[in-house]
Amino acid sequence: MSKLNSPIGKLAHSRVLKPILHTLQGIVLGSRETTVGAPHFVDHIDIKRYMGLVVLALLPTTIAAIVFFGGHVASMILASYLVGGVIEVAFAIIRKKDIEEGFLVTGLIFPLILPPTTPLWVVGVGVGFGVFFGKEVFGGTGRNIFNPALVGRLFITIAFPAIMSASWRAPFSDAITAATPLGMFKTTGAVAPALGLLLGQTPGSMGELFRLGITAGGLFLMVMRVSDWRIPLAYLGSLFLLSLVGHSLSPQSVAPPLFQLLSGGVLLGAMFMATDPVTAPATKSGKIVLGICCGTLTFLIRSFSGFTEGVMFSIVLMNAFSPLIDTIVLSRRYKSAETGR
Amino acid sequence: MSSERMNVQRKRMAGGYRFRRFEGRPEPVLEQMPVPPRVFIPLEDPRGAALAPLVKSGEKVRAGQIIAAGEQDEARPALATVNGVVEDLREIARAGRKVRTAVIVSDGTATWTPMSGHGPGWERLSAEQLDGLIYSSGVPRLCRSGFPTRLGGAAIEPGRVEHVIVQETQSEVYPVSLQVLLDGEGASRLADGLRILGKALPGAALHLALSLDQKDLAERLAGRLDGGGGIRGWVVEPKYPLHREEVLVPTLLGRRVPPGISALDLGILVLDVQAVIQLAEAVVDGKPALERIVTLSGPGFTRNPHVRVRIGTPIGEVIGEALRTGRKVRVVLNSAMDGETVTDLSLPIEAQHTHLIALPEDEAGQPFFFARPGFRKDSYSRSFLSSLLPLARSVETNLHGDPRPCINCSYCENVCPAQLLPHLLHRYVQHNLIEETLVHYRIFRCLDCNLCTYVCPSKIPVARLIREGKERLVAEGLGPAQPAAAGGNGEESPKVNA
Repeated sequence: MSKLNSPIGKLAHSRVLKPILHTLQGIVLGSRETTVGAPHFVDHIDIKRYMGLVVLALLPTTIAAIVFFGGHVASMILASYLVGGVIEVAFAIIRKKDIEEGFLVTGLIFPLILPPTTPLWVVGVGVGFGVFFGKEVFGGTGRNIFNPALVGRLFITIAFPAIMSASWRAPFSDAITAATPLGMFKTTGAVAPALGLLLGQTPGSMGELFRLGITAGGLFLMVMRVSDWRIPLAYLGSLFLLSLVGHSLSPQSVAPPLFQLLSGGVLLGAMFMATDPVTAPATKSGKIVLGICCGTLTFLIRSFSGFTEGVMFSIVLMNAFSPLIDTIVLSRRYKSAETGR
Repeated sequence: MSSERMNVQRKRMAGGYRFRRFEGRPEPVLEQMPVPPRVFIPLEDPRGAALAPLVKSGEKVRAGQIIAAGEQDEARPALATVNGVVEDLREIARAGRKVRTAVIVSDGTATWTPMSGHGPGWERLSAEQLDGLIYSSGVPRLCRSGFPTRLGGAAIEPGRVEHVIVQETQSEVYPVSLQVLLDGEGASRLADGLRILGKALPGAALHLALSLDQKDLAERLAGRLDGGGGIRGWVVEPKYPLHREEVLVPTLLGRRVPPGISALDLGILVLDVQAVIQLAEAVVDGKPALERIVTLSGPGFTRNPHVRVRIGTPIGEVIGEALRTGRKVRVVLNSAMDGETVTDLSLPIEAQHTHLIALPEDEAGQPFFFARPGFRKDSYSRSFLSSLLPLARSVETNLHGDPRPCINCSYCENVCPAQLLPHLLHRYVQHNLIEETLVHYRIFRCLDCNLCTYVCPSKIPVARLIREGKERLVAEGLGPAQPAAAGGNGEESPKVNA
């Protein structure tokens, strides 16, 4: 490496640029490392492709959001990637590690769970808070307890309640409304038609609306073995069953089951956020427990609390319980270890 | 027909991974290598115990002559595999230790002296005579745990064998071609071999385990024994590492092989098809186990034949001109998943070798590799087009990605044949938590099959970390409990070589 002595070489090996250049090299040139001993060859999947597939699966609903609400949505996504990206790169430099790919997903999912008229500075504050306090302070991707996008969303919900509650808009319309279908049900008992909900023709967070595309993307990830089918199945299944029973007992407070599944952010949350492998339990039965708990919490919050929507609270709360769920599952699974069998 | 079908049962292993269609798969071609000028015979048991030489340097030997034997029951005598003269008994470095090795200069003749007592009339031999024939044929050296006879050759007495499983599950990346093994006399020798097993181990139940696409063969051979018990046929999906007895025995018989014990300690003898054919060649044709069919597998070779070689031939001579030039190639013994790298091509082919594998070293990487369609890329995920296409998949040594922290994707757990949680175990070792909890989480059930490392998207050497954890636990006195509950008595516990 005689280049080391040249100014460019020095720059390339400086503390600041090295993580960036190494990351770029990993993207452009590919991996230059080989296996050491057995196994002598390995699978072709890597984290870049893994996270890339999630982004790909989010594209239908992302494109739909841009079509529904226009250019401001694109600016929100760019703002999110920009602010979050700067924090991610800064931490990569501090840690002297590569820039981690998990951010590709966080940076896209965060604006998708916002109302379509959110000011760009709020997007920046939210993603900055989410990435910093939701992920980096725990040590980065793989060590975070909470889903960083949801942490950011939770923060701005609490910090800017006025902006967050009054900026809903229906697709292809400029009229600001305060009422999402879930809100309408709570105030008037009206149930929006299923087809409109599937195609996203109702107010809501901009990425939760095109439910046909979300479902297709979610199924795509399960087929690709990127997300675990247990969590969405348990989440949506328990929400469906509870509302089936609840609606027949108390039709005023509990929305009908199909409407529950097709409204709010439950499809996006169940298929793209509760399934985040880092923040979900690591054990298979733990994943089912998580799904059922999320479904139950969403049902309870939607039906019996002052809030109209409960997906975000459910997932963030259950993220905190994931380690405990794993501990319980493991202690049951290995109870008989001493006896050998 | 329907009654034969009854004899073949289908079984499925838990976990594991099916390696489909890789480039460099051994072709159904058999080449005969000429007798080499020199063979190198390590004077030790496959398990590592030294054998006492019965010849001196300068002494003339015949192919098939016993040149070293041990005093313990489980010792398996070593045979000269060519006619010629012992040039030297010298220490040769192998896998970091010195092994006493007989170097025999061949006289170039390909003949061998038939063993006494063999022949089509072997069925009239007494049990003792049959045992003697098997013991001195070199066959016990071909088998991982040996072959129990009244004269020795394995850790247990023949009377204690309850089950014999003959397997060719095709579960490796590069499986041996059954077509090659069964060509010519092979098929009838396999049938003979099964009958010989029935006679040599009369108390044992016989099983034949083949892969799903060998169902017809399994049906033809199952139930064919006349007199005594029959043969139970099994067909299995060829998932790695089903060929390992720790997986095969529980999958077929529902009995667990505890860590640190071999299946034979439980009375279960697992043999591969080639060894059974060689057993029959010894008993029917009087031919000692002088040769071995090994494959030249992997895209690092210009062609991928099966080669019949004399045991003791230096690996370099077997590879010969078949190795690709102009590109860095790694030669691996027996398995691309858990085999050792061959660093010294002068080391000999040994009795239990089955594959020489050559893999191109790939230090260059592909630009934008993660965004490519991947027509020929293998993956546990279904994210490459290869999962839809019938193309042969590429094999090289590149990591295909940069190391990242574990994200709990669970791939390792899904493929683990021991139903462990590798993602959990490796974290303990990574964080230096070498404690009882790891034993509790059954770390010692790990088979070192390396599948967890294979599938890891974060490119973490999971299996190596687990191995390290086991070693450090043993060093701290937290090793696996002695398997007293496994049915054996205390003295049957595994012997640790100093």
